[in-house]
Amino acid sequence: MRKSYVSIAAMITAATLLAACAGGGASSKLKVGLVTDTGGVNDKSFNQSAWTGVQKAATEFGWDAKFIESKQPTDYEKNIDQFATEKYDVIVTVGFLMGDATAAKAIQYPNIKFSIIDNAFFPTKGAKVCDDSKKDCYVDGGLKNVTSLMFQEDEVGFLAGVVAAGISKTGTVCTVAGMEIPPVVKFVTGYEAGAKWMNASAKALHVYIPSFVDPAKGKEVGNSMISQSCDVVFGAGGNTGNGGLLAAKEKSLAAIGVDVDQYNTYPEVKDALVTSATKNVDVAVYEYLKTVNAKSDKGGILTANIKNAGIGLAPFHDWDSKVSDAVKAKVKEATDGLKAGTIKTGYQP
Amino acid sequence: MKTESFAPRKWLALSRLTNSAFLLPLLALVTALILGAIIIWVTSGSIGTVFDAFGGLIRGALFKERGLSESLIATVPYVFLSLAVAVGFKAGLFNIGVEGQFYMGAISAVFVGQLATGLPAIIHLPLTLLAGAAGGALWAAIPGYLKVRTGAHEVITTIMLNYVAFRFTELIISGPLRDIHSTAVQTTRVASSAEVWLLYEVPARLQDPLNAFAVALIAGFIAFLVSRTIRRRRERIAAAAPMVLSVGRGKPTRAPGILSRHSSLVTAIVAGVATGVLLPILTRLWWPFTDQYDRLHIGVLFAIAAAVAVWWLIGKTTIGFELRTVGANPNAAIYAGMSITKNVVLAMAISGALAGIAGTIEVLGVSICRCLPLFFSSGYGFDSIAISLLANNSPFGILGVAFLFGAMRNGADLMELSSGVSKYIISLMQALILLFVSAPPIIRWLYRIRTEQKGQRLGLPGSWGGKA
Repeated sequence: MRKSYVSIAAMITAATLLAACAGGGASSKLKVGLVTDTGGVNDKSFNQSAWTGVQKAATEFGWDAKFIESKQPTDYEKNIDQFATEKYDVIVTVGFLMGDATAAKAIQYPNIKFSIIDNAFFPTKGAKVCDDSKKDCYVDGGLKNVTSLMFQEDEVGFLAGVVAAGISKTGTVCTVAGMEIPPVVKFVTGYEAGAKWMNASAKALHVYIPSFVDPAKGKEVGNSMISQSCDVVFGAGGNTGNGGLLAAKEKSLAAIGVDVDQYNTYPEVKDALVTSATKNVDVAVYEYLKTVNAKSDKGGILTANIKNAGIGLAPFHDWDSKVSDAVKAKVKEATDGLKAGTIKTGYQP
Repeated sequence: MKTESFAPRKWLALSRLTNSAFLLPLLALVTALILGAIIIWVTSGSIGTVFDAFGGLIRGALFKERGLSESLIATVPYVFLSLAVAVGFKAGLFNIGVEGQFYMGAISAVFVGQLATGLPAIIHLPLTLLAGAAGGALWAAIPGYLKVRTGAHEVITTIMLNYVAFRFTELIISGPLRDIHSTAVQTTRVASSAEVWLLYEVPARLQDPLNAFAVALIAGFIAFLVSRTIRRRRERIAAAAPMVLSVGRGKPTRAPGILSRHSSLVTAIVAGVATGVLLPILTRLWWPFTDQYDRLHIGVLFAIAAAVAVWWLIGKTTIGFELRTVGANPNAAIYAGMSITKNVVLAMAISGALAGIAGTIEVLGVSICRCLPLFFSSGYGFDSIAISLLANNSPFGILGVAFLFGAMRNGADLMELSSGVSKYIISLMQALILLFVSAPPIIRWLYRIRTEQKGQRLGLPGSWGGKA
């Protein structure tokens, strides 16, 4: 009796494996692939936002769109390669941490268009891809096929700081920040500059947590800063920052979200959520893909700022009545100042 | 009961198969794959998706460009970490801290890899590997010592030390070892001499006479071991049957000459010189790995060597015998005069050393920056516990199962791309495998396998819940 069960199992497996080898297919549609960083495509933040932008473009232009989530940093190259060897036409990579891998693969596949969010390439001494003998990585450094989608996070951080200092009762505001990498540093710097601009005696605290996926740590850090009388918590660090928002919500204080309007993506904290410092990653990705569709893309750096509305504060939603007109007027004033260049955020790259 | 062993001859092979330790893991695997297929079928509502999914999985893992290489790259850390877990199991220890030891190995390797510069690769690479092994070994020795001295169970202490290791490496990466020129949070690139060679680079690397010398040394060493083993076996046979030999010859054998007395050494020298001279020339003329974008590295060879070394250490040496005895029956071990303290700490240290080497190879051979960025490994360590159980702690079984897991991990992405099935279905299948392996009655019941087999001990450690 037992032998028959064993052999049946063996036969089924063999059949499955054999039949499986026959799979696969091809289509002539333009194919666009998105490689997320370790946060994954449902991070309620910029990976998700990038995917939204890709999907929007794909639906509108009738493209095929797929994503691959990276489990760990050593997967970046492999995942980009996965799309490249599957003959994808456009590959969007999300996040600063994928810079090296994206550059290496862009050189390997000069006929594929690459777009990276949050990372610009500059000639660097001793760099493997684009060393300082080059003038411009995109023009003569081998990265002609790469478009960097950059955001001036310090500007929107500044506006968030203005709001924070405006509604703070204790005069202390704080940031639960993710990894200390340029986009996060820009948010923090802008936020603190904005708070000081609004209220010269405001105190600003921040802690960088070397993770984007550790809400527990974010919450712990948030609570510790709240105990130092911070009453407006800015969560700037993906899921880690979300922990800071949760800490504020549990203490019935105010919180400011990041990257996307977290009122929609993280409704659990909406009571506390005053606004969000949004980077309209979806818009940036969509606009880029639109140029691809129109065949007018030419590589290089595209910067989203207050001026071109690529970044901005999310609506106040439930807090609209609680934010005074004086604060709103100040936000307006700061916005105009940033647009006109009369206000500086103090961020030095 | 007795009649079973006198089964008809034609079922002999099958009954041997059912008695072998490999049957249950194999059936567990098959069952998990079938269940996975059913789940895909049910959730997608189409049988075609099942074929697309498995087709994508197999093509991604084996047949697509660089697919096999990527599978092997994922296999290497699995092999080392599973061997680490297996060594622990053999000594009755459940080391679930391999993930943390992996990190500690990686950070030690980075330290030596970037601080010691100007050394030739022949010294620097082994030194860095050694540093990685030492980092992992020391980290793992702590719970070993705590277990013997305080009775703190290693399951608790190793898993807690994992978090200490994660936070510690984060601290080191973002603090003292951070690359101040890079805006990313990562350590400085290790020196080129400490890098694990990519297979693509091998011909170029061998042009350096020192590297060729290193390879010659290794080849000589292997030849020595093989030759000595063969000779000893021959001598043992000769000693066991002196009559047979003397009958044939008719006259007494001569005393062996200097060459045959040192035949192993001679073989070693010949093999070493030949390799050292010929390999650089031959690889220059012809080398199969010409794709400069292929990330496959010589760590694959290290993994095979590690499996052989563990097999030999555990199965063939006094050290291994003591470890196994302590694992199987601590009281008997004490009675036989073996030191529990020494053996438990040693087993943990060996286990940790293997895990540390895994981390080292990832840093020196796979990481694009040849450095340690934040969040380096993701679950290699935890998967490895499953691999070790599935392979029944056999070093060579581990090579196979680790490749299976590596291939599944690598093929999963193409599976998702070509069928739309979430790649987390792979984790689900692996979890099912683990479930079936750790609960053999399910599989026995499913396939009507009788339970009278002996030696049906799966890898669960004897110390679980008890005190070694």
